[in-house]
Amino acid sequence: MLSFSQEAVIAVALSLSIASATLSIIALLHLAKLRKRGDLLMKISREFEKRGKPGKLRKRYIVFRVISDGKVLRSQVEEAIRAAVKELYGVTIVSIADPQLIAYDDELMKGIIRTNNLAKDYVIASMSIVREASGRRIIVKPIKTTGLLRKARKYMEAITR
Amino acid sequence: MSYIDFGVTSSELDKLTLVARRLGYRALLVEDCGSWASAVSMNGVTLVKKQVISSPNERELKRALSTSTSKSTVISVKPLGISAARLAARDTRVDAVVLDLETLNYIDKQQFSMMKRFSKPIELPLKLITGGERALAKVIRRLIYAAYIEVPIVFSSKASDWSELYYPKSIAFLLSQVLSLKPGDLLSGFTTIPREILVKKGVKL
Repeated sequence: MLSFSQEAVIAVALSLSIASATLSIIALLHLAKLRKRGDLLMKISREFEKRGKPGKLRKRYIVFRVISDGKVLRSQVEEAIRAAVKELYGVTIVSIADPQLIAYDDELMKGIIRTNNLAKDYVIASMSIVREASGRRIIVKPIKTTGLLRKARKYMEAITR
Repeated sequence: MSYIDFGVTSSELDKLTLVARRLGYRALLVEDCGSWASAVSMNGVTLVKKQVISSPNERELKRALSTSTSKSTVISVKPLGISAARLAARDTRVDAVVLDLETLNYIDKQQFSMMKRFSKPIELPLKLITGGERALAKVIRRLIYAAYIEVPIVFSSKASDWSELYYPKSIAFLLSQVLSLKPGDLLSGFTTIPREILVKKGVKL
C-alpha cells in the first residue's frame, strides 16, 4: 500500500512527464514548421538572387534574305535595318540591340545580322517595317535565329535562290 | 508554313503573287478584282475574290448583302453606324468586320462581345500599324480589348504593290510586344482563322 505522500509524488511525476512530453511534441512540431519556413525562405532568397543577377548577354545571329527589284548593297541593308529599329523603338534599344551585318551575299541578297538575346525580338519586329534601302523598294524576310555563327552560316548557305 | 493575306488591292497581280509566294503566302484575298472566277491560281498562289461593303445602317447593309453575287466571295463589312455594326456581327453572310479609323467609333465593348458570341473575326488592315501614332493608339486600345476577350483577329495588308506585303512572322513579333500575346497565337490570324473562312466558302487550297 502506498502512502498518501507517495501517491502524490507519483501523480506529480506523471503529470510532469505528460506535460514535458506534450511540450516536447509541440516544440518538435514548431521546429519542423520553422525548418519548413526556413527552407521556403532559402528558396525564395535563392530565386531573388537568381532574378537579381544581371542577365548574361548572349549573341544571336538572325539569318535573313532581301526581296528587291534590284541589287541592294551591304551597307544599305545594314543602314535600313538600323534605321527601322531606331524608328520603332528609339535610340536606347538600338544601342542595346546594336544590329551588325556580319555576312552578306550581294548576288542572292541574303545575310546574317548579329544582335543579342535581349534585343533579337525587337530586331525581327523592326524588319517588318523596312520598305526602302537607298531608293530601292525592299522586303526583309528573317529566316532563322540561332546562337551559333557556324549554324547561321549553314542556314545562310542553304538559301539557294 | 502557308499564310493567307485577308485583303490586297493590287492590280499588278503577277508580280504580287511572285513575291507573296517567296514570303510563304498560299492565298490572297483580292478586293476590287476584275471579272475572273471566285478563285484562281497564279504563280502557285490562290487568289480569292473579296468584297468590302461599307454601310451606314442596317437597311443598306441588308440590301447590299442580298445583292452580293457569288457564294464563294469573301465578304468584309465596314460598318459606318451602330446598327450596321450589330448586323455585321450576327449575319452569317458576313465573314469579317473591318476595324480601321472610319469604323473605330462603332466597334465598342458590346460589339466585341457580340462578335465573340457569333465567332466573327475582326479584320485589321496592317497599314494602320505603320500609320500615325494617334491613330495607332486608338486602334491598339481596341485590339488589346479584342485580345483580352479572345475575339479572333485576321490581318490584311491592303497592299497595292508587292513592296507593301508583310512577312507575317515579323508582324507577329511586333504585335506580340503590344498585345502581350505569343507570336504563335497572333500568327493564327494569317493561317488557321482565314483558312477556316475559305474552307467554309468552299475554296480549295
